[in-house]
Amino acid sequence: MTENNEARIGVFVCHCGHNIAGTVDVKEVAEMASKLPGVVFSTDEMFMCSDAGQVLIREKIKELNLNRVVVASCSPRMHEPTFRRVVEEAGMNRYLFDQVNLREHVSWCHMREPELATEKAKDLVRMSVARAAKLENLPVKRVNVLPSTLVVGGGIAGLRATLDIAERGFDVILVEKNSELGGNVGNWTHLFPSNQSGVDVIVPLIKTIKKNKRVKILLDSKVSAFEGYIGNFNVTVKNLNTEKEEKFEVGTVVITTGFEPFEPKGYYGYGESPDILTLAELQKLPPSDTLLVPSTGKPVKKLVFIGCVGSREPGVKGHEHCSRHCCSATAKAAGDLRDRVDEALVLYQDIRTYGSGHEELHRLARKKHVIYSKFPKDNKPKVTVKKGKIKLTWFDVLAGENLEFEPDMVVLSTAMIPPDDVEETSHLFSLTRSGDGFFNPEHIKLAPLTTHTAGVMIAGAAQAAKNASESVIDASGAAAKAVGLMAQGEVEIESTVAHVLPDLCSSCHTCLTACPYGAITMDVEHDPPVAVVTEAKCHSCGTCAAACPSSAIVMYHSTDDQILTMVEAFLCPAPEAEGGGSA
Amino acid sequence: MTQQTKEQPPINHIPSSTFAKDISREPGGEGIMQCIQCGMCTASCMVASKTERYRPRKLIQKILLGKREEVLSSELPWLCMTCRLCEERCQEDVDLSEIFTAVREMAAREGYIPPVFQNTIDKVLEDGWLLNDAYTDFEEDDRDDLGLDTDLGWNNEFVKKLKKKYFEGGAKK
Amino acid sequence: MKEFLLYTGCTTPVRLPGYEKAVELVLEKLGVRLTTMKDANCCGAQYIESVNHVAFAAMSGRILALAEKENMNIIAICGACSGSLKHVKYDLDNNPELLAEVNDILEEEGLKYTGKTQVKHLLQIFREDIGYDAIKSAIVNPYKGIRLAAHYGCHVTRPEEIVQVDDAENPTIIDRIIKAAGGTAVDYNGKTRCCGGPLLAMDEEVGNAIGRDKIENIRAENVDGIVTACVFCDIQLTQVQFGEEAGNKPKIPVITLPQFLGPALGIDEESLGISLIKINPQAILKAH
Repeated sequence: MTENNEARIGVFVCHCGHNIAGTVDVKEVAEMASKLPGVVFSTDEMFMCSDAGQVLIREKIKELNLNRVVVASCSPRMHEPTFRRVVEEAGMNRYLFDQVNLREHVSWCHMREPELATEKAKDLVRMSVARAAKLENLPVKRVNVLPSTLVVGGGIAGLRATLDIAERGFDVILVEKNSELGGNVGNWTHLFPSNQSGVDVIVPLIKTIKKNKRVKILLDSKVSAFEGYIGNFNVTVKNLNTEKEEKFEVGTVVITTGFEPFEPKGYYGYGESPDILTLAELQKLPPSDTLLVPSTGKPVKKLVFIGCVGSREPGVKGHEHCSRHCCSATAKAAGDLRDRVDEALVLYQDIRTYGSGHEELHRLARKKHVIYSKFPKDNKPKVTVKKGKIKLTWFDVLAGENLEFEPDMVVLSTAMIPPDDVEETSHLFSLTRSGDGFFNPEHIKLAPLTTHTAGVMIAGAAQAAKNASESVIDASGAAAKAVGLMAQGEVEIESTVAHVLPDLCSSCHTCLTACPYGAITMDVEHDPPVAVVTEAKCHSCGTCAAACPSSAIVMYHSTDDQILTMVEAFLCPAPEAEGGGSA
Repeated sequence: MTQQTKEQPPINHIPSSTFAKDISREPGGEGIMQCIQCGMCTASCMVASKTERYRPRKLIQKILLGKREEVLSSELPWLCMTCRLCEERCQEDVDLSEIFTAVREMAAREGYIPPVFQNTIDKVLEDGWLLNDAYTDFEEDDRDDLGLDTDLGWNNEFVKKLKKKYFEGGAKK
Repeated sequence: MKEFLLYTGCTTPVRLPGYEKAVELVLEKLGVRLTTMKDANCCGAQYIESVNHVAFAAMSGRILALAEKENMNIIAICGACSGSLKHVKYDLDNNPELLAEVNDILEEEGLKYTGKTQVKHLLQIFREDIGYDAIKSAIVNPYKGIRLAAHYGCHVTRPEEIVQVDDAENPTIIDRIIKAAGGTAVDYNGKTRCCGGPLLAMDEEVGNAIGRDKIENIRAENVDGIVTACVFCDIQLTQVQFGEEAGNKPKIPVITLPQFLGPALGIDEESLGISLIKINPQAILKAH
């Protein structure tokens, strides 16, 4: 069906079983709707999203030549795509469909007032019908997706993502700022829960990647410029040594910039003695049968681990989070090293050995006579270094004892924090960061690997503190998302975007600054240049349209006319319509 | 049963795993390293609910930290009633009652036995059973009225052999 | 007629002879004949147990060996004895070194333990060797309209893997027998907790506080009496209701299981030693 010569509107009011109909008198609502201007069909139905409901819409469109459809049911976040697809299959443009939320906005929040709820339902349906008459066809647009991915960061997550993508037949450009691939894991001798070293895990990955012809590896390099939109990104990569720049075009991006281990200056005497080191530094020591005291070269006899260093500190920005991997890593290290020393202690605030095989590491460490001692969070252990000797004093909460110890080596399990150039990365790719400093996903539960920049994925520790196994899981997930986009070759973009009317634009640049997604640029073909929206980047938030002093921006599918019609319909009900709220 | 009553400047204890190792080698003490200090035992303990000085979890942690002197000379391990509610509830299968029995045996070897225990042990090793002194004519009569044998027939020779073998020179093995 | 060797332990013959007699009479009525073990010694519970585990194994081991000599199995009617004998049996059966050492000492007595002897607590006899159906059919004078709380005792039921008498967290044997005899078995808060008896030696105050706790939890359910299966618990739950701390609260009768079951089976009350029960149990016994 086509344009809006004369609106022929079909209204379908859903019971949603008991969910809506239990509170709202849906029959009354449908009855009222049937008398509204433009409505040629109005009914109520048990479950509109079911086969029966969908078939009903299709049949009525054909039978009655409907050119607008209103479904009054659950939240559009639930079934808008479903119903849009249904009307499209029946030959109608999907943007001529409107959904009214009678569930989350009416029956679920006004359960104890059924009469008032029904009145509200009638108001909302009346408003939607008025809007539907003003809806217009919008073209369904698609953009190409180039079959190549940019992977930023060559640690374990980046390596896994690269391999997953390349093995599925897509090109990968892997950019790594250091001179070697492997990231943090590559440096460590002690992983958990198995007994493999970092090298054992990383080297096979790197070997396989180097053999794959689809992968281009750029070491000592960083991304210096990033533009474009989903499926069509323009990337500039700069070599840090030669300063030479290379440009690429990619379809998708996976950010796997990882973390760096916190260097706890000012905590527990770190820096006052070479024998006080972080767990990461311990992992970096070359593998050997004896553990040697850094300052004397003699074997370590007394070893102490301290947990939660720089983590879980309320009020200290960037250090409030739990770094997740450390309790398990510490249990493994303590258990492994116990046989080489006379005493090994783990001073802890809590023990979070949560993962598969992790609690077993904890039990094993205890079985080997590692002494676990809990300290209170408001009275942490004190470290003094005198003439090269380390002395530790603390209070054991569970025994109620004041304890002291003179270890040969102190290992601090420090926090996972974002790398020092994280600010730069977040600006380049328009990513936001959470309180702990890592990148925000699009939705923590429903979309943990995508971001608000469509086409850019995050994975691994770049997203939040986690261990290597979990980073690999993320990486494969992000790779699958990238491959999903590239395999289809093109991706639909929403047509409900902002549009600048060039004749009205005064070149003030207000919208450009206002746009949170960097979707507006100046079109220099005009003189003076006018603002133009890159539709693929637009999230239709409406900020630009609201900010524009010249009213030069139209929000498709939410035009001023469409919105104001709804307001009128609410305030001045048509005389034929029953139930008009309080007007 | 010593009590730290002298007011000294606080001497901090230095943790050591030796005592726990010793206990884990004693029959009954094997499971001590399984304790993860979760506290289920103390939550279930009736003694702990009625007196603040007794906390099974705390006592185990003191052993794990190596407070040998304090634990062995303390009355606390002797306060366990061996009712075993803690053992039923412990998620790591730590047999606390058995561990404390092992601690008591070790304490006894080093000469720490509460007087009431010492007296009762002496009695049993003498008479072969506990209530010899309590079995008077009245009790004999009651038994007779019920038609029960008044001669209880306890053997007191065997215990004398045990005393010689295991208890001469203190409670040594 | 099944036959068992009765091991009385130190306490029952002196402090609760009625319990001993009632066990003999009731079990006889239900098809189990008991012979009292002669020439026995203390099982070594708690005291010897705490200071020397080999001496303890030898003491309980001797009792096991005495039974093996008679080719009979043992019934224990005290929780501590039952716990000790079963525990030592478990240790001897699973630790060949300990067994060798103990048999060494027993050899001088002309005794040996090879693992044949079985140890059962009184409650096991009711459930396994007699059975609830047999008990029910033997009831000639059922109780009516009385509410009773069962107290099992810690060493009777725990540790479950070793003693294997009943479900440690939810024991039911006594309750089922109460029901079979026509009474109402009542659940109460802290049913599986200790009576406090073992702590009297080291800390009488705390031990009695624990016992009083139990009585108050039972009192909250409005019962007519408490049914026990361990001599020590019976004595403790009785004596804790006397004295200054107990105050003026009405005393709840405490009665051992066979003394409770006996009258329902038609056995004369006097022969069960009912008159020796410290807190008058008429409230229970008259309810027929």
